[in-house]
Amino acid sequence: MIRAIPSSKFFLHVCAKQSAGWVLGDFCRLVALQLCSSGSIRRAMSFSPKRKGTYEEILHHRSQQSDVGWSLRSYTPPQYRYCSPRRPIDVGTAVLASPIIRHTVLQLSEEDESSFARLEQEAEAIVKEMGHDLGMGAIRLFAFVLSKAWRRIYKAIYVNSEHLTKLQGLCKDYPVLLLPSHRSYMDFLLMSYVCFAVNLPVPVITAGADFMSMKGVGSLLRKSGAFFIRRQFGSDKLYWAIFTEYVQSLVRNGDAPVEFFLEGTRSRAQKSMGPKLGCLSAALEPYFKGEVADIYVVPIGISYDRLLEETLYAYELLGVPKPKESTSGLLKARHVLSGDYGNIHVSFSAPISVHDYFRAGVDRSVHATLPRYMSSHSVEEVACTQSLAVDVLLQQQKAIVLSPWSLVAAILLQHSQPGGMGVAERSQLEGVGVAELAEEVHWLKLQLENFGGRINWPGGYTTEAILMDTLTVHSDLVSVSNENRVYLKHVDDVKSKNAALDPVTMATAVRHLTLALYRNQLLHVFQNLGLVALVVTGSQENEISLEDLYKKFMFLRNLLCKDFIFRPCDVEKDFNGVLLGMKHTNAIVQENNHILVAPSVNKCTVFMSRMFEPFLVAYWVLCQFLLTHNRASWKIRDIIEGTQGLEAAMLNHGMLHHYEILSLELLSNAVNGLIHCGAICREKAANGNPSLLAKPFELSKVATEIASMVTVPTCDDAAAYVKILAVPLSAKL
Amino acid sequence: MVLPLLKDWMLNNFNVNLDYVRPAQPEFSAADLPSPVINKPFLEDLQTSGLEHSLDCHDRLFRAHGHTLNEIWALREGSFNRIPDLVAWPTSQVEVMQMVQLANKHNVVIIPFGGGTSVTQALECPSTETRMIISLDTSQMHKILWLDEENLTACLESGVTGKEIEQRLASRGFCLGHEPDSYEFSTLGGWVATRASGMKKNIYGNIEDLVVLVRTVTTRGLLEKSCNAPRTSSGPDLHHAILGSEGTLGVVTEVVVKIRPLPECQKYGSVVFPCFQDGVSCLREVARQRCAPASIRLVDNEQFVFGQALKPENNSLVQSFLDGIKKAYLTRWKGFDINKMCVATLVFEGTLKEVEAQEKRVYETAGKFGGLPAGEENGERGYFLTYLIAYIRDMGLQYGIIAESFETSIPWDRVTDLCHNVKDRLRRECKAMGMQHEPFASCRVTQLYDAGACVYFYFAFCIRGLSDPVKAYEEIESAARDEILACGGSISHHHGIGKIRKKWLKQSISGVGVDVLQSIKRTLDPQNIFGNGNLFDAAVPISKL
Repeated sequence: MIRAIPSSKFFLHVCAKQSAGWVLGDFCRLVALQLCSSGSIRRAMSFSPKRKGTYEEILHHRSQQSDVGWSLRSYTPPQYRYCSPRRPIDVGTAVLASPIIRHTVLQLSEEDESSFARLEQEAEAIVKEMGHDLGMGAIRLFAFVLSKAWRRIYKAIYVNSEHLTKLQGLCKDYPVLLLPSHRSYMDFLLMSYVCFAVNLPVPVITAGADFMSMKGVGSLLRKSGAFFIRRQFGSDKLYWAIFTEYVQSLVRNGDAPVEFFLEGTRSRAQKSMGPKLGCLSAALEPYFKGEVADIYVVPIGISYDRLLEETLYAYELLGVPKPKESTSGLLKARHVLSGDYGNIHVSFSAPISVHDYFRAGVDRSVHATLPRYMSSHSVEEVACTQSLAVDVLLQQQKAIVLSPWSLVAAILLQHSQPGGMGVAERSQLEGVGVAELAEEVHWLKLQLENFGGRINWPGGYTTEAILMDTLTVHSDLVSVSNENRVYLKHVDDVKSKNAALDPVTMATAVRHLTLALYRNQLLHVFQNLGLVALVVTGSQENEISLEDLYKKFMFLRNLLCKDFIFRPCDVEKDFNGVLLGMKHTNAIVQENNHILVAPSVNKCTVFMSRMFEPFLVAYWVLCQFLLTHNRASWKIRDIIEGTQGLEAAMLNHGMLHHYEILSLELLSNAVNGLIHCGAICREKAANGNPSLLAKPFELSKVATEIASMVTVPTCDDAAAYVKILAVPLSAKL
Repeated sequence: MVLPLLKDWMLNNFNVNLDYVRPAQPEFSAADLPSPVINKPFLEDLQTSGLEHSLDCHDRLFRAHGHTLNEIWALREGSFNRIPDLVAWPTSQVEVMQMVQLANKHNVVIIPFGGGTSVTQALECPSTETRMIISLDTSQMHKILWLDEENLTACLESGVTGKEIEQRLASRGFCLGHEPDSYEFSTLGGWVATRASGMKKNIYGNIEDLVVLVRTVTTRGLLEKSCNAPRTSSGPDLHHAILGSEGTLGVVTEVVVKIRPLPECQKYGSVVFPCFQDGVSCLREVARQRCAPASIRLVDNEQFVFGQALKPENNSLVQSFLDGIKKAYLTRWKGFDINKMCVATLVFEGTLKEVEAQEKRVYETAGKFGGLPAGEENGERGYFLTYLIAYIRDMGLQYGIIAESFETSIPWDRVTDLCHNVKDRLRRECKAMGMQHEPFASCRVTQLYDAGACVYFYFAFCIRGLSDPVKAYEEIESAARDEILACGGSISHHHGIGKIRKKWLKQSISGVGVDVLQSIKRTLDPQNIFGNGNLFDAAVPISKL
């Protein structure tokens, strides 16, 4: 969030711009939805019992029946033992009076001779803009209103209780950071709601400043604990100092748990994004400086059976400007009100002690000879923070409870035969039989469980029953005919800014991407398996040596490092682990130090490789685009838009059939992945702006490598299409 | 003395009652102790010289240990695998020089021994030492050689204990004013060798402020300065090579110290604070204003409660009634939380007028931080407790409670965090070792400086169920020291390095720093005669390789 790497800035920028308007709409909807909700409570909860294993339902099943009584109940969460109680406004005062701010102001006034008083005013304004205003009034109001609203649309909210008792105890002894996954606007209201429900202290939350400007909403969010951080403040030293001190003041005094999203922004594609370290390293500094004995970090995985923002995300990923708020929009809002959004699962992972985590790798005594206000992180601290961040993301993924719909989405997206019409297409025209689908879902569920995925699979029901339930929840996307066939619903034509994309292509892409969002939710379970499968199924030989397999596996990990979360130091461990798993499930056959290709090309490896194929195809097209356009330097925006255009042309001509590759986020990750692999390099142009330089030799090597694993059009064909496109494209560029 | 409340406190804090007893083993007999290594030519020369010495096993055992936990434990329940082979009692500097020359000639190790109150295993004989080890006991060198009333200085022999010094000086109307908690037993030479600190350093200074001249017998001869001038600029101050040398360079034999006229008035006092942080803020302010009385100590809530448990029996009903009222006043009227409040104990010294003025200023300052004066008696008991605590520790061992203290010094802004973090670390480490009951972890701020403070930690836990309690203790203390360093604290304020903190020395003074110390050692003691192995492992002389 804080220091978005330059090349991904573009993408975030696009999304932020687009979503600013949407945000308002969404929140109006939410608020409207809450206020006019007085309807009956959903009763059909056969799939949503009060307790499932360690998970407890908190929305419908309460000892106190009335929402008023519940929201006004006595609420005495544990408090940090060394906390000196203060009002939210005192935090700001303390920040302004802190040595670091006084020092920074002094330093800045000496540096650029701007007046001391003006800087102080500026600091005050920043603190005012930032400050949270957490109060129980707003929390109780939300507790009441959200209970009413959510009961209409959610079957259940499940929270796992296994770590809660420990966490409640830890809140007394140490400052706590809550780090949920971020895949919906709902996340942060939901987190506060859950904390209130399970008697944890309600957190203060780092929120993007784009919420702040909304009248009414901003102050309501402040009151429920949000404090606002500008999306980008580059080298503004004063802002940076105030931001870090604000976070640290909260951590030091332990007023409340501090919640923030490691990924910095909502993951629109529904898979974890690389961590942004600004907030985390700021929050950990009190530990490094010995100001607190320890800090506990709690990864939390939140999953929704159905996202409020599902089509919105698809549009955003394609870079399509949002349709104007209109009557139809309002109608849709009413639609949200009455829809069935299934279950929510909030999974707290085991709290991680920062002290135990850093014990071996970090020597905190290096800070002993500098005044405490001087911010400094040692090299080891930076490295360990980075590693902790990745571990937290992995823990979030592990904790997330997947919906059966993710399985359905993954299957619907699969192509029945290479180069032919996919199930997605078929299911629009002729549909898929429920029984056939159920069988596939069951198979995939087994694979998922074999490789450590967690899925919401209520006991005592047949796969078909569970399938029908999830199809009902997603009746916006699919319909079931009287003949028990599943059809994908039609999407209206969509206009794009990118002239190369025609409305029909876009409509298909929206449909694919909406499914891909849900499929993406389960990819982390198979990420290593998928990469091995890609190598095995792409092989032309009779056997592959483990050495070669490992080399190609490494290549794919490096290339896809921005699309998936890997721990770089765990390559070998992951590789051996997944091979073992695959051998046990007969997905590959190994003899001595070789994988036998023929028996290893089977349902599992083919399915998995196809699941990951679109990513490689997008990377390949991007390589082709750069290889056929000879330019000294690129802006990331031009590469992405150009590639998107090229992809659209190829899709239109039937050369490609993965519509999801049109996703701007995917292309942005591809650029960054290629930068990581050294096929594109970053430069600073003469005017000081960052620019990118394509390295043809490395690019063609990557492209060839990809082509050896997945089916892509021949290069000549590609070149031909580039020529077709070249005229309008270069005119535009 | 009867302590009626202690039993309940022990039950509450450690879940031990007095039925569970771990008796000490019977006294060691000669057969239980390692037989002496004898360097025959040396022994012959020694006998010819007529210096007083002994090969008696109990004389040797007595000088084989200090008061570090594992040493006390070895006495009670364990054994020693290396003790001095001979004890010698020189009576003057000249005799010390004779001893050192003999030792140097015959390559025999000398470990100087003063009061035996080390808590860093500084007196422990290195178990790998194969040479004969002599314990050089300075206790027979306890004279006041001269006293100069005009310059307020006195020349003392190094073996004199704190208590003796004060008694003898008092009879002539003077005092030294150096009162470490061990001052009943510890000696002037020991103070110099460890860079000791006294309770009343605010008036009198620490040992390095008190010494005017130090005479040290080394294997190369006598190291001394040429005059009793108050300060000199003549290159690095060599006193500072000796101060803190922990017996690795030579034997401190005579010291010229500053003395002061006896104060007209001494008065105790105490202040209660609503919480520890308030107390620390008050101490910081006192230090800022440089208005600290002779001693000011802040004990945390745990120790405050413990202090209450050590109240002697109240014979009169009136007294316990009054205690009840005091408690009610504090908690009900002043809003003090009995589980958070803490107390600062004070010693004022000077003329009546000075004491009055000091009291006023200190209590006023304390008032700004919510502190309320809590009477002389509480203050006095606080200081008494300090001396008592070593005895209580030995009693605790009998009931299966291990207790020990350690200290550090740290800048002001980190004091509170240090206290919180170290106590937390102690509790955590105990939990990690599977102890059922939370340990007693407590701290107090005992010395104020312009730039920081000295913090003392007390720590006790019940050893039932632990297979190796001493090892457990050492691991926990080691973790606590790591935490101290991480918080910006020092390796030690006044206990020294000895053997238990050697592993942190390089981190504390840098590799170059250790090399400097090594080269001093090499110059003064190339054969490693003073081979007690404190501070660092002396580099083996090249000739031996």
